[in-house]
Amino acid sequence: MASPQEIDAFLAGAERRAFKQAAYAVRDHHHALDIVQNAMLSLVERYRDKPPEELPLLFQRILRNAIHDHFRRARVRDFWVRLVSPLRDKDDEPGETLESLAGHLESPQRDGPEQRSSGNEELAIIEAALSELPARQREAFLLRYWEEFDVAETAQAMGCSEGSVKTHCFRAVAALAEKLKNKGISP
Amino acid sequence: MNEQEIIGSVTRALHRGTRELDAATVARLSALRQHALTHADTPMRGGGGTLAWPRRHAWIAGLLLILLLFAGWTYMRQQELASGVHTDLLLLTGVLPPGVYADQVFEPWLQGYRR
Repeated sequence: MASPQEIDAFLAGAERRAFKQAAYAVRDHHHALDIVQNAMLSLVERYRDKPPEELPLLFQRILRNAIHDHFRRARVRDFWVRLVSPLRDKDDEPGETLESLAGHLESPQRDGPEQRSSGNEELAIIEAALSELPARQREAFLLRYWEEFDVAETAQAMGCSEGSVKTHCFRAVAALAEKLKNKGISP
Repeated sequence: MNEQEIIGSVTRALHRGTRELDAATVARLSALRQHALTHADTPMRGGGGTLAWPRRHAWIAGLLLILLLFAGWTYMRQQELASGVHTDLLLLTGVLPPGVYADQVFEPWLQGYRR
């Protein structure tokens, strides 16, 4: 069973990467923070009786589910908004649009100062290329090469076969190589 | 670029990105972690508690209740319709005279007929 100190140490080491993973998926700073918060709470509330060595894989599964839940909720919300929108007063719409625009502008993923500096231009291009990858390819790439899971662990975290992981990774690397080449970035 | 170079280049950049995360986000993540850890003393959810299933699946109980109510309402409606259809059938086949609805003793007769 993981002690609170072990969980704290694990989360302290994983939280930034988890935030970035969520941000690449949802492309919104605030939603990414919400997702990480839900994943952390879920890990502590449900799985703190697990041994510390199981935490990385569990946390990745929880994070992945939290990202999927975010998109599921967004789809349901969009459905109701579309359903109700003909009944709503048109005066309501500009406020919401500005609010969502402001949310995007606040996001350091898009317009943060670090991305405006030329020194981080390469990072911004790489992060944009990752965000543009299909979700499964991005998940496989990040788990396999960034989280340094082996193929079996990646397959377990993604809930697919090892063959699928290899295929997703191969395609992700090929797509990234193409995108970076087009942007004039070489290793 | 070969595969390993691409992977190395991208992961190095990503690691740099996490190291250079803005201070506000780092502070927020730390606060979220501390908040999550305050739940370490609460009873476990999910696989741990005996009340976990009802808590996690309360919506299933709600759905079953709604389905049960709907089934009851449908059954009663069917019964009403069936009794009307049966009477109409008796009228159309001539078992009952056309003026039977106006007859005050129709209802007792119908009950007897059904028995």
